[in-house]
Amino acid sequence: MRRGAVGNQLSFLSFLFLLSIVGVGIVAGTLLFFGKGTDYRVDESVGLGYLLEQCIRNEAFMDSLASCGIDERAIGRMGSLVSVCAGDCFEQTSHQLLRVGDSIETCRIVSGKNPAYPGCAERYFIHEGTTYHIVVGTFVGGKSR
Amino acid sequence: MIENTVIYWIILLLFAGILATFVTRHQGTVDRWEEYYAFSLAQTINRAHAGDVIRVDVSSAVSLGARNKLTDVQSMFLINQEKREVGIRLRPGMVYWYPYVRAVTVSNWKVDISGSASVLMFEVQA
Repeated sequence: MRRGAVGNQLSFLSFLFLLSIVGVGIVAGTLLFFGKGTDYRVDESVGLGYLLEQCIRNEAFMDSLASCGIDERAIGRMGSLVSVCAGDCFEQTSHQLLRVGDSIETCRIVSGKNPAYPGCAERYFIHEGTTYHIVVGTFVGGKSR
Repeated sequence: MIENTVIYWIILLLFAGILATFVTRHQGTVDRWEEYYAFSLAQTINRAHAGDVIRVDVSSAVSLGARNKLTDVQSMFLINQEKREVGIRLRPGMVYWYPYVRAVTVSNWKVDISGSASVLMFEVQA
């Protein structure tokens, strides 16, 4: 093989290498910047916690979601976890007023971007001398279909 | 030499085209707006009181839908009261559905385009 041909091949490989570096950079940057969509799970949990707090403050709470005008089927479809307690829900001494879902404790352990875990929100407030603790976790939000 | 340069240019243009397509597809502007409007409307319904008449300026969404060749404004904003979901469609095909949790009835759901702004109006009843 002539020296010129080797030089050509080397410069072609350098060119491809340069393109691949640029390509990987742009692809990674795009994926990192735009991500997989907005995660509204925590916001959803915050909103649901707010509804429950308002329900308790308005004296409408009767130990069920329906008493607060919340559709239990909709909560079920969203895979939400709800716990309402007089006292700290994660303490055994608390009095649990409402519980939906089995794994509300996962909110104590971990919450965040991992889709396998719920997006959680907690809320403490005092109403008529009682400290209430509301823990809400949501697994899924909207979907395209 | 000239042949080599042409090959380099062809590869470069192909590469640029593929990257441009990738970035455009993943830019996700429409997806984000669909999610944003659906979530916001669901939260609005969740926090509404019986008898509230809600008016939401949806001009940005309507322009985005029009840019994506959607002509029927009413079909961009949907509600499924059976499943308690709000649906937003700003591109042909898929609808993004987001659930609301309040057991309320939503009536008079329509987009008013008679004014300078496009306004989604609906009434929440117990």
